[in-house]
Amino acid sequence: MLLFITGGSGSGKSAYAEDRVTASGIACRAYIATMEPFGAEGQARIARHRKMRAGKGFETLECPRDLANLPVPVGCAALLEDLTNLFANEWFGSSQKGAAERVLRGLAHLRDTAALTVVVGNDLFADGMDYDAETLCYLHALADLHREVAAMADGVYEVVCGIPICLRKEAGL
Amino acid sequence: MTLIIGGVGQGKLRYALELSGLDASQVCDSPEENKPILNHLETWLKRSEHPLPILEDFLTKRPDAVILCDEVGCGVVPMDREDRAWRERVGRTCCTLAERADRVVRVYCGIPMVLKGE
Repeated sequence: MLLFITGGSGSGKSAYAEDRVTASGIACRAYIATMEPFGAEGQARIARHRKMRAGKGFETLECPRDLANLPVPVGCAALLEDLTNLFANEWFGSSQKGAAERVLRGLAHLRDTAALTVVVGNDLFADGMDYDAETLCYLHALADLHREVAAMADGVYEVVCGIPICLRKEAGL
Repeated sequence: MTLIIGGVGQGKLRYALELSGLDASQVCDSPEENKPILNHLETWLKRSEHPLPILEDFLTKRPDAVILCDEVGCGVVPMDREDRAWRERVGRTCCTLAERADRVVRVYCGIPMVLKGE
């Protein structure tokens, strides 16, 4: 079972994603952290998320890239946060060529190993701003990836002000 | 309280006026002005770093207020640190207001979609 949860910045998508994992009743819970902790702001963001997860029984697995080779407990509930960070690390930190394929292979590995996979995405595509060619190229690749993940997901949700809007309903867990 | 969100120019204010039967003289841009419709919460949040006590106070006086806010979190992460903090603050404030609201409505192309309540 793969659930894809997107939303804007500060929309409450992480809290909803965590709720879906805890509501699954699966006791073995892995939090796959993709963010590399650069700077004070990055540290603060990570600290905020750790505090949110505290007491919910997650084991944190650091995975900034190469998700396909991450050892994940069989039958666990895995929460991947987030798709954009993972993709950016592959795109900017490894190589643009094949970055999306590496992420998608990683997600297929998660889906096939975990009983429940929850992937947090990011809505970066509606600010109407113009960017330089390099940023636009990255944005388009990221948008394509979001569509690919939505296509492979059983359930897709957009979270707005902490409220989930169901875009595709998964069949019962 | 009703929270109405949506992108720029989507028809939030028109919908709020229709919904409430009020006119433009009843619309304010900051909770301190204390009118029944609070428009452009996102702009007020630029100059209010600790908004919740002020909004609490406003909602105590006006439990039936209609609050309008542009959705600003759906773009590329801003380069400027203050812009990032503001965007985050708008999102978190809306989550808090939505939890407390009787109704949450998202207006898209002039069409209201009720996310919470009747």
